[in-house]
Amino acid sequence: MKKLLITFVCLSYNYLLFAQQYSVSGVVTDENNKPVLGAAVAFLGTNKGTTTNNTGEYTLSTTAGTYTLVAQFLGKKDYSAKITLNSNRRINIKLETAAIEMQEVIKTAEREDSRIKSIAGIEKLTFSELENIPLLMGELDVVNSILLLPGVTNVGEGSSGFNVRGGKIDQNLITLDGSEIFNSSHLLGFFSVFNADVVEDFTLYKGYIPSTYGGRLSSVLDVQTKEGNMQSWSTDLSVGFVSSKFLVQGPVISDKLSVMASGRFAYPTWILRQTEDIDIKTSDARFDDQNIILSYQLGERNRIIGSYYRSFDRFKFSDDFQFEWSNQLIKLEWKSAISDHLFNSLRFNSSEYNNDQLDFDVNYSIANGMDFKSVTDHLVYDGLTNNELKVGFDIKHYDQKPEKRIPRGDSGFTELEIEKDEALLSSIFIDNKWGNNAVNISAGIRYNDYRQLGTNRVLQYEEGQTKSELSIIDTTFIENGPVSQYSNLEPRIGINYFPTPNISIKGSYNRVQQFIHLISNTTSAAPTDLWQVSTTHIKPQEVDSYSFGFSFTGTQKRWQNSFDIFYRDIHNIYDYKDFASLLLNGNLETEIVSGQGRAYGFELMFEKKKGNWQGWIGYTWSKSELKMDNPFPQETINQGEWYASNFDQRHNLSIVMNRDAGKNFYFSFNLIFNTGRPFTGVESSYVINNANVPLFSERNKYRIPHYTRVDVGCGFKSIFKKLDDRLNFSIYNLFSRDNAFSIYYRKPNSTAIIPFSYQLTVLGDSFPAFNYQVSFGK
Amino acid sequence: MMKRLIYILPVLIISCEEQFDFGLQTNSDMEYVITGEINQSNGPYNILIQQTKKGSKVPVAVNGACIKLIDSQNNIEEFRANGAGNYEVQGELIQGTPGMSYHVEIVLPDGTEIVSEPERLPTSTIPDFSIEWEQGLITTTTGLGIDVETPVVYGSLKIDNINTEEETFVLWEIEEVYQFLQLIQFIQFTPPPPCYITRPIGSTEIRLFSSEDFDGNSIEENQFFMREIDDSFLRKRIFTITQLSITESNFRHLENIKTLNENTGSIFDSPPGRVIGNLRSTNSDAVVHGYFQAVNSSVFRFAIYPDEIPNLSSLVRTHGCSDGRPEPPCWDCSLLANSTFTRPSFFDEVD
Repeated sequence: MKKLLITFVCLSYNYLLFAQQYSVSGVVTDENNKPVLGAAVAFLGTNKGTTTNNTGEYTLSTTAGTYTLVAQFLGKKDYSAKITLNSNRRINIKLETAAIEMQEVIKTAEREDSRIKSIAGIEKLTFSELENIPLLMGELDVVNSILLLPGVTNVGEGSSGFNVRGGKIDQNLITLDGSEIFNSSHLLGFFSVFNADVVEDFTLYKGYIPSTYGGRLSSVLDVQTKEGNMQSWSTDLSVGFVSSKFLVQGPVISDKLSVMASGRFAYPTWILRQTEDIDIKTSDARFDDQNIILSYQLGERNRIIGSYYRSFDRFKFSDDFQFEWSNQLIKLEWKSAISDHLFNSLRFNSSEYNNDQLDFDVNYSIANGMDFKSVTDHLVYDGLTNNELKVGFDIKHYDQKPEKRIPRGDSGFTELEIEKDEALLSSIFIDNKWGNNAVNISAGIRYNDYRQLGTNRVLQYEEGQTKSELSIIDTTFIENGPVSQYSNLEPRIGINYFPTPNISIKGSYNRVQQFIHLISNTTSAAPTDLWQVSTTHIKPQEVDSYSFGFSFTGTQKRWQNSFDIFYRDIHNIYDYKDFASLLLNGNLETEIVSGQGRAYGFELMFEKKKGNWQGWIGYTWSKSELKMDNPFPQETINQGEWYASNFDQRHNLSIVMNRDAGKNFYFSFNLIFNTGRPFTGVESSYVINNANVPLFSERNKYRIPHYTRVDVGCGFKSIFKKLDDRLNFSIYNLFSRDNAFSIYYRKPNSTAIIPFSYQLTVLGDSFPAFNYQVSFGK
Repeated sequence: MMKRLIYILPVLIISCEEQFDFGLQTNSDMEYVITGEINQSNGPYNILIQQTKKGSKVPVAVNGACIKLIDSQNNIEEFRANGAGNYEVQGELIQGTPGMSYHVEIVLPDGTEIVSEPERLPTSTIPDFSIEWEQGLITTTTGLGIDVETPVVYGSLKIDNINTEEETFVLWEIEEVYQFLQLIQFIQFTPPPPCYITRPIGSTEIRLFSSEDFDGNSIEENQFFMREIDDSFLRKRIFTITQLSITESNFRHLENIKTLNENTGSIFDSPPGRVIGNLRSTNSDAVVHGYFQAVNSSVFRFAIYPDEIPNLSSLVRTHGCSDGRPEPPCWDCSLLANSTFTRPSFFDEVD
């Protein structure tokens, strides 16, 4: 720890070496005065270059002289201007949209060595890079896209969430403009809550996680939305098989205030109506979501952005059951350039998640949810050559909504309300990025102070007994102060060393604590799962993550290749007890067991960035294991030995290729292979009270069959000459492979007692889709 | 609720399910399965001991065990072997009495010692129940989307004046007994005697009730059980409904079994687990499954005669013996499960 601190302090103060230089700073905008994030700015012919930050600001420092200042960004024309530097100067740069033919050149130039230069385990993507991959149900989707990257998997079609490097799905921090999202899926996971039209870019941190982020062990998926056009109005429409969407944006006050509004509506119910089965015919599946984003330019150095997002899902099966869930997110952000080198972002976020499950058989519904609010401030100083220092704080408030049983009609059940917990997580962080031609170093420290608030009672369990309703011996009431409190210090460091310009050797280390847990006893995330903050008895999870690897490219930079090894050591990870009862349970600690986890493996990535054929081959070998070795048999799983987690998949292979076959046509295909995930199989059975009792194996002893899938897609641009339009076709699961979602035991008929297992395939046939997109006013 | 979710998935896309052989690597041999019961009757009381066996999905009988039944006053009575893993105690010294506790101590031939947790025979039973039956039709949809109507007999359950102040846990078991007449073979000169088939109704369903969270005072369930009408209804049939008042521990155990039986493999299913009852080994790590239960039972029987079902001959579905190529059990009913030529004692008494 001391060594890390010393390293960090040294890096933060390296400016002493460069104090006598002059600087050029400014903001890079597009033709609509919208800041351009991540644009490359450099002095031509020197090694002085940088990229713009979240407000489009850049700063370069060098000695006095005459230079050619250049700026580049994907889809924009190059900027170039000669400047004489004999004092500090401010130069704002406006980048114009490039012609179609130029885009490929710039895209290649900008991205051709991104994998070499990035810190280990950071994947930054934009939809413009992904727009040609085959679509599922006609939609380009954030989560479905990252599933094609090495180290990212899920448990099969129709499952929510994703698993990163052997982590559980709740170990991913998913944010939309900084607002935490507690259920990122639409339609049971076939879509995500992110509307591709509104997303500017998204970054997945699966290795090095900057200290600006915290609270989840495995990864951060940071999704940023666009800001509206300040110059002209435009409209985008998209019509598909299952969903349609629109986007309108433009200036309310030219160059001052822009608005962007979008909506997406899914209507698979019409497919349900086509079936003969009356149960299915009377079922209902739908979702919708909307975004509104306002952006106000306050003078040259300030911008205020407000955004609102809401979504609603309904999933009803006949008169049997119905799930409804909704998200509502609000963001208010003030970005300001205090000086040429000092930038501040103050942000308020609110996120509300509601979940309601109605069981028509028993005629009551169960409602729960989460209220989240946060205030975040990031202060960035980049006045030092090749250095960016970021300090800030987060204050997050998690408030679990009471869990309610709401009877309907004469159900015979009483109304019930289970009080839940709330918590305040306060964090401060300092993060520094420094680099030159030989090395890039990102390092930081995050300090967390966690306090459980709300219900002021703490149950006392009898010592020497497993936690259960029967072992409760007393209740302690906390009069003042938090019910429980945890604090920790999280060092993070990522190093990139370049022995040659085309080779980088990388390493990273993170320590992260997680104070909020998704308590689940299902294979995949389900609407029945519950978010639970840490309590006296449910301690925070903690991980130490190590990553090491190297990247290399050739002189032509046609391919970028990388190799990463990772190891994760997790403490206080939770698994469910057999037959855990989670709903309407005020003492969830009685239903779960805690233990250790570990995940390790390696990833290979071969990415082709140039030429007509582009894409990547990603491969992961990994293990994800748990160990629940506790003093009580009820809290021990598989005799306390290591066992495979639900999402342990030994091999993952993804091949993603697309070919630009001319000005207006593309073709693409994906090949996905995953080792089957573990399951618990039935090995024998007996009869008691006239009922068959299956005898199951140890947990996760067997594996479902391997998963293989091939998708193809093609698209045509400019279908109608005067329109900016595009028609996409895709076939998901081209060869109609019956990939297993699960293997399960089914009760035998009334006379047989020999148990059989069955394979469930969710998507056992190919699924064709089309999608037509058109834009006006661009 | 959850179990039907599976049916929605084919709609959203295209799903299917098929039997799957995952290459059983069972190491579950040496896992014992013990089931037994004591009730408030005069006896006898039975225990069945089995053991799972490598490579077999059905447990095999364990013979040669020494079993003692012990009550809360430390009276002891020994079980005697009754064939194929069955053991019986006559109840000469110990009889099930509500409020008393009972457990068993077992020594298996391999030296494994097993005891059960003491079970207190419940004192409380919910009031007597009544069953009424009626004839009806159920509609099922085939995989091709064709609706098929099947004639059935429904049984309805009704219980009034339930006292919810006292926690009550109930299990219902339903059985049917009917006569089966073998076909006369060519070489036979006299018709064979009728044999009697005993079958559980809806053995895959576990019918449980708990007064927890129940704020009504009566239970009325119209389709408590259902039996398809076939040609076995052409003779007298008796339904036996047994209401068992059970302990809370037994109720939780049965709830877990019910959970396993309702899984459909969907994402909402509770993952499977190992159901552990109230038996454990005291001198080894052997895993013991099953339950020795103390129950307070009451029985209700009713008969259905062929003339009580209108147009029976036009409704019946054959079970094979009336067709042109009858199955072997039509000639020898001992090939049918749970068949006997011994007439059950109640068969003539019940109307």
